[in-house]
Amino acid sequence: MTPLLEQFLSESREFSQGIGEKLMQMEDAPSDQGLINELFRLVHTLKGNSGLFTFPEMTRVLHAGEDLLGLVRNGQIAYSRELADRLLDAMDFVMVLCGDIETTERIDASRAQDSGRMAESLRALMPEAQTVQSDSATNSGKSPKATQDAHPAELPPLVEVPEAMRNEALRQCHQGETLHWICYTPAPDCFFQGDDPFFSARQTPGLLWGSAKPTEPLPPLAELDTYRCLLKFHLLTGASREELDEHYRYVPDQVRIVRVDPRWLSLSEDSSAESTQPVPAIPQGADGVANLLPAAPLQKTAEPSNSTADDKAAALESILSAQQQILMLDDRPDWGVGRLKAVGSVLLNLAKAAGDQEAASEIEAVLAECLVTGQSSLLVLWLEASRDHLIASHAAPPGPPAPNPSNAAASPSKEPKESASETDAGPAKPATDEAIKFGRRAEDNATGPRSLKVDQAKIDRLMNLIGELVVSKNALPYLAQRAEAHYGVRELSREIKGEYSVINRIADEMQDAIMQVRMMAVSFVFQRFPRLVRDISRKLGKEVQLVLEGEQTEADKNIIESLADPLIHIVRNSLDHGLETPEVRRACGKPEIGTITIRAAQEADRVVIEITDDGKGIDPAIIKRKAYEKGLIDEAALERIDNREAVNLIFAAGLSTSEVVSDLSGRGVGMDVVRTAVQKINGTVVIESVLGKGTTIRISLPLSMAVTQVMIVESDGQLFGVPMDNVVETVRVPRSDLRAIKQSLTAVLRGRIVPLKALNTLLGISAGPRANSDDELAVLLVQAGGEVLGLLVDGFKETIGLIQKPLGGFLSGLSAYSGSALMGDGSVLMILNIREIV
Amino acid sequence: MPIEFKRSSAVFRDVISVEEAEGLLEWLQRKPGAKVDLASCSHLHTANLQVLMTARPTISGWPENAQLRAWLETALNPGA
Amino acid sequence: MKHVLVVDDAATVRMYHRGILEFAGYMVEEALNGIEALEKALETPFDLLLVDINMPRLDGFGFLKELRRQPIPQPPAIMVSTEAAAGDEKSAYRAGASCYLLKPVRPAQLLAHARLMLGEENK
Repeated sequence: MTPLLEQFLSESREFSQGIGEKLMQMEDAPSDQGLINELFRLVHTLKGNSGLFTFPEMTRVLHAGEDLLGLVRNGQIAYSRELADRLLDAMDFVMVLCGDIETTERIDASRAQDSGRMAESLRALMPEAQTVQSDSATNSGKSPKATQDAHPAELPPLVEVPEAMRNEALRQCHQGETLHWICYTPAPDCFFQGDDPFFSARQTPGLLWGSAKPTEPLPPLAELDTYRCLLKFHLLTGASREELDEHYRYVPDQVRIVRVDPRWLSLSEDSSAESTQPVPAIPQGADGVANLLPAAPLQKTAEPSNSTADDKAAALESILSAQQQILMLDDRPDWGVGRLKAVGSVLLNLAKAAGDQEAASEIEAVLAECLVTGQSSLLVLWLEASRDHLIASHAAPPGPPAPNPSNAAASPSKEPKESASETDAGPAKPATDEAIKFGRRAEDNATGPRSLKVDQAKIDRLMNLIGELVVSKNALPYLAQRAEAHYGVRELSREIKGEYSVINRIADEMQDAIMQVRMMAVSFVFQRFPRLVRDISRKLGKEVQLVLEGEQTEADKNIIESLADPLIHIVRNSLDHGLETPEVRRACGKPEIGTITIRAAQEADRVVIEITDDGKGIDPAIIKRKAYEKGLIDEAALERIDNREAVNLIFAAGLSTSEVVSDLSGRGVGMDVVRTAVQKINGTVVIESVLGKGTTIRISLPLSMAVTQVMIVESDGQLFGVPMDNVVETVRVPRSDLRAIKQSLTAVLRGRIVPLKALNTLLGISAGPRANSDDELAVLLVQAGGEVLGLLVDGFKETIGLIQKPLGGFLSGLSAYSGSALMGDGSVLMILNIREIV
Repeated sequence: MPIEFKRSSAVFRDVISVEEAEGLLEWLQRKPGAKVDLASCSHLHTANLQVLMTARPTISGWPENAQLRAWLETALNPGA
Repeated sequence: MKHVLVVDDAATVRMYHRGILEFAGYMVEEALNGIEALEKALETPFDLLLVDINMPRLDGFGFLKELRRQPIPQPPAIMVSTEAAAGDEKSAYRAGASCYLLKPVRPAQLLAHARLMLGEENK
């Protein structure tokens, strides 16, 4: 893919996103002129970009969008939800096309029909008078809808087809061939675009029969406008729909393609009698018309042209006439002198380009005079007198002769584009796509924000290396110890310790720096919510206002990315089950418009995300009953648990928020999915709800997954790491205080019964827990999934920060461990996955 | 020249481009009853086609190209 | 070497125009809007300007008017527009554009205009 195309795709995505956001903002401020202008500019720019390539399917849709927004901008039509809906659909379509281009570098011809429909749906919002202009096929007074590929209300006029041909077509249909009828109505101004509709019609693939007809009664010869296309074409073809779409891909809005029903061909004798006299069918492939013309006329002329001489002549003409127009302007603005100077520069350079020294000095003299008097009339006179001479001197140099200007004037007079005379290939190939290198360059960074796009793999590698450095530096204290204890050089030991502290500080800073690089704002996830909330609430018939707060809060990229799915699930749940319909809300005395707030904030080393709705809340009684019915809690718990705990049962597996299976929140998949996803990234999730008032879900996540604080514990002579996120506290319990209830060990701690489990047992180690000299057992209180549990271990060691590595190879199947880390002495510490083992 | 204008007939040769249409129209306006010879014509731009359809000159020679001939006979033959 | 300033808010269009102009051997600078263009043009003289109309902060018309008010040598300016709107061409001339081209500008077309306006003899 060329850099230009890459640039185009990335800018298109960025703009589509921006357009979506602006549309969303406009819902709240439909008459904000600044927003409308910005929106218009984005669509306009995107359309301009697409025009650089041959992506007519994209340009057409964007053009319609631009026209529509132009009317909104001028106050001719009002912003409406429907308008926003269609524009959002259009932007989705643009994204789909971008996807096509990304994979195949082209847009499939089959998109042409969708594109036409999309453009029509946008144009349908415009007042009738506005739809006539630009690229639609409304010339014959048809509404845009008529060009749709729906089953035609009226049968195509197959009576026109001579009977012999019709019988032949009928025979082909009966043999299983598919025939198509095409009505091709070119735009009246198509000649100016370089189109030759008759040629296109003759080139239609699989053509069996065709006829040219006037779209309106032809005028008397004296009044005929040669440059206005008055013809339409009726065609019968055996080509497939795909081939036809491809052939007419630039003008899908000008053709109506209908699959021929064999019954239409077997007309009654009466109707065929009305037909004009029999005409011989067109012999197929009799000649290669394709070879006669240099290029397919439907090809857009965005490609570089080869004709230097023509381009130069045309450029000279256009520049000269522009200077004349500028000089004839009758305004007197305060920048008029500068404007006059600019005309002088242009004329002077034209003379220089022609190598005409005489003209150059004349211009200088006349310009000087004009600048003194402040009048441009002398320059006007000079230009009138010298124009032909200047053109002639440009044609004279040894270069290829320029065409006679009077010849150029004979081509369509109102010529809007300089496309008429591109057919003669010039001798030189000055600028082809292959020759021109489109690329970025380093200085570009100066114009945009000073940022760098880096492949994530490179950052990961850097992070791994820093992780290794952190671990390696931990070998130095051991070395210092050995220097003193083993080799007896205390001095060296002290120096090593001194160096260690320096390296330690740098390593810490490096670690911090790489964390910063990986930090990302939560807005990355938040930005998709306005659209999501809007679409779903529309679908449900609810009125919802979305409030986003703390979008700039940052966390590690992995954390942010894994936040997206749980958040979407929660928000969908709120929309689906939390917020009531406007009628219900009104009846409850609430404002009709419900509110969902998503708030992010940093609290110490964690990111907290709160999703609050002011909906109907969750009834703890219902949750309790359902949990009991599903066997998630026993009878005792049913009595014991308070409302807060009950509401949190919603995260238990198998409990759905609503009995109603909704296509939005998933088929009975409940909030347990959310909890699992959050826990995977060492996060916690709790819910608070007040019946009738609303619900708040609070997700707490670590800022970064890279450094894990772990407590090292010892059991059966081995060391294990326990993530500090799981650790509640460490206590020593006299063996005599242990109680056995129903075969399980418990202890009463701070007035609560806590179940105890021996780590050895959980890991399948046969040894029992070792008590200390006072016959006390070491209990590590951990929390897993909201429950607190005591782990019996042999002893506690220090707490360290380390970089966890996921287990690889055959070890990866061990769910008891979440990863491993290298210790300073070269040993490996296994990190326990508390949730898995308890 | 793709169209050769004689005293009372115009001879079309090869491909007749859009630029010819204006001249053809003027010539046909000046010469009612003129003849047009299309025998050596292989294609004519839509603009020329509609000039011929409006003026309905006598066709002294139909295109040798059978496909084009079929098209033009349908378009230029006065409807029975 | 001739210096050309390409003013457009669309990065794709800037890249396209720069690619063509650099191919022809010109030095190209870019500006994203009228304000930036004005700053650059007042800092270093350019031999030619290629100016988009619709831009944020300051549009192409505003930029040219302000530039033409300055007591400096006035370079030719090609105004590039996606509009076929009738009024725009005249507005461009009023504002101080030297000629008016419709997007997409073909490479050969752009170079033909640039060469002439830069006073370069046909090579």
